[in-house]
Amino acid sequence: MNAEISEILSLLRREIWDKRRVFAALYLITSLAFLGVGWFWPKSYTSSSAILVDQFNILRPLMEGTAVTTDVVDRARIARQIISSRGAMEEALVTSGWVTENSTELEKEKAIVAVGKMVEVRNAGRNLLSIAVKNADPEVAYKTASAITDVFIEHSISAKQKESQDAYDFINGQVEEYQEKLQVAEQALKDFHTANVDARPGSQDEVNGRIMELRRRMEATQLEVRELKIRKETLQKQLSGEAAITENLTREGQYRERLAALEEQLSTLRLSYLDTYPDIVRIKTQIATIETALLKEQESNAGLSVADKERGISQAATTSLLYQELRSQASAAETQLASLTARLEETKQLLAVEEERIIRINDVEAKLAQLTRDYQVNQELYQSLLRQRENARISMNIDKENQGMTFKVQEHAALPLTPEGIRFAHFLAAGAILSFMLPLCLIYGVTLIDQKVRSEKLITEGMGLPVLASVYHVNTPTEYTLNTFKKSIILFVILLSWALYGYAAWLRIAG
Amino acid sequence: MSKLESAFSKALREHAQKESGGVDQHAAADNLAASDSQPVSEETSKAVSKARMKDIVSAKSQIKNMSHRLLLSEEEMAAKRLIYPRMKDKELLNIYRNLRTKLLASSASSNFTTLVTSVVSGGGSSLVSANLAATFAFDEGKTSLLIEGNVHTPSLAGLFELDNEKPGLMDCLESEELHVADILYETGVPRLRFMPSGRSQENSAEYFTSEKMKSVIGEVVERYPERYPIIDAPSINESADARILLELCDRVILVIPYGLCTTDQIKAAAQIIGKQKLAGVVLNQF
Repeated sequence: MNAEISEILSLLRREIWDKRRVFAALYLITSLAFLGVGWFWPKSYTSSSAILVDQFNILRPLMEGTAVTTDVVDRARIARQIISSRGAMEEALVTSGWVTENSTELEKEKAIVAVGKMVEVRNAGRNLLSIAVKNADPEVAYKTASAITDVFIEHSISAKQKESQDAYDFINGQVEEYQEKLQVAEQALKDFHTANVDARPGSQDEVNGRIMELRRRMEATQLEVRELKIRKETLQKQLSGEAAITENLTREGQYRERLAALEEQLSTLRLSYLDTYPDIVRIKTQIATIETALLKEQESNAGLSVADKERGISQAATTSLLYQELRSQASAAETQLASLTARLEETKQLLAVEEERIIRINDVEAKLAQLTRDYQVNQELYQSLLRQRENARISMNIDKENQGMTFKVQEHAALPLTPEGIRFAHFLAAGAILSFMLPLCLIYGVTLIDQKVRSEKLITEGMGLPVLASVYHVNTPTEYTLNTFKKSIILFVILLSWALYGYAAWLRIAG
Repeated sequence: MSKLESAFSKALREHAQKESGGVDQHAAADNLAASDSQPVSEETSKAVSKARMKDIVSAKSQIKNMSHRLLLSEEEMAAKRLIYPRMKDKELLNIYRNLRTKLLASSASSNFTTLVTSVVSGGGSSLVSANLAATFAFDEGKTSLLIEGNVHTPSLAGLFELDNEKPGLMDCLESEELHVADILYETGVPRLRFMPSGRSQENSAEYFTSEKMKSVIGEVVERYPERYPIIDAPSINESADARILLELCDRVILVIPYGLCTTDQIKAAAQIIGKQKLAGVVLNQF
């Protein structure tokens, strides 16, 4: 044995003997205290039931993504809330006999408070709820636990059904609300389309294309106008320097020449434009006029004599051929310039109209985009709500059929036969041990605290004093007898306490 | 041990046996131990032995003439927790013998005065001093005198069943008529005399510091050649008397009781006594 432990044991033996009265008194008091507390300690019987919360029934995988089975994370908390609700508690108390239907409100309230303290609800496992009821009477504990379990299951199912129904009602209300909104959006879009016929997809691009075309045509016409103006000026300059008469031509010939030139010009224009084109119309009119003049000239020539014809020829011959040619070209250039100028003006007007239209189309498209967006958002939400409503309907039907989260009593409450918690035997065992240990520890603690010298080593090694002798107490024969008597008394005290323990245990066992 | 000394010791033991009705088997051994413990050189040993032998013979003859009243029986000794040579508890007997030997070895002169005091009152110094005195008295060549120095709470008078009214040390110091011989009482233990404290005096310190006190101590020391006075003093830490008596003594034994005093108290007591006079400590009931 370790020398230090041996020294401590020796010290304890010595100190216990020196303070034997204190030790015996403390022992007796402690052991009797434990006996007394153990005797009067209230018995506590616990009756508990286990409820299996089944979330994963056969419907779950089948309805995955469609219906939502009610999920409860902290079941114990919800169970406590259900059980502590006044309706459930009252029902359970009436069933278990705590109160009757005719009991006063005060009596009911007192019973609810009392039973509330006895009930303990906890998560016994992942899907297991435990409802335990503690009471001094095992039968009361059993009845109360059974009643509370039944009431809990009943209320849980109805609460779940109500929850599903409420969810469905809410979603249904939302569906109706969004249906109205969608209808309003549809009507707004319809009215807008009616008011703005131009507002059709692609109209903006079409108008933009047309504007570009007009601008291109306008630029081309402007270029032509500039060219013609230059040509006209050049011709006029040439005309001013040319001899007036170089060659004589008959009037009829001149008409024919002119007619031929116009027809050539007409045929050229027809290659590019329709007959309705203004230049073509104008040339046609000129051709018709010249043809009329030519007919008149032919008719007049038919009545004239040869002399007259010759005079006519001589008259025409007074005009130079080059001059005539230049005059003809100048006239043609002038005519073409007038035609192009008219076309340019017309193109400008058309461009202005198209530009005005494109501004209008932009406004209309912005408004249309807004209305379309509103409509699409409402439509999407409405369709989503429709799906959710169908899911909620199925969930509601699942709960109605008790196919969602189900509660099954895994273990019914049973009549407890043995009390729970600290029992009389525990007190006896603790008393037998602690009534020794407590005075022992107290005495040892005092020796540690009081700083008195109890070790020879402390004097020899600690203080370096020479030890001449270590004498001990010798009992006189009288003291020896007296000590034997004292030991007997201590033994008697210990045996007395044990006898009391034994008697108390026998009384308990015998009932 | 010489033949002469052996023969003398044997004759003395037989005589004592006849007188006291008991045999001190250890007396010769004690005497030898005491003699052996003296630090004597080889050259002077013969001369010293002769001189010593003369003293022993002289002392023993004087001690032999000491008067003895009815001696205490072994049962009575045991009832008083006093040690006696034939006691069954040899361990305790040897402890006291060793204590006596150590004291004799540490002292150069014979007839030295020993003060036994405790660190705190109730430390058991009275019983230690009584048993130490009894141990000295085992030796037929020595006598011991136990002086009650605890004036205020005397306990040795009760141990030796002495009437409290009997005159003691304080009476002797106070009175001119009383002599030392008048206050020495037999104890029932062979060769052990007892001097009670006498009447309790409030100013006991004044008496202890008087010249008469010194002459009383001197007288008791000189009364017999091999006399060892042992003074039982009150606690050195708690009484001024003990500090005064300290000055009159040659050696001091400090009794340390189990579980009654702290290290500081022990250190204080040892400091008061001083290394010069402190023979050592006796642990009581450790």
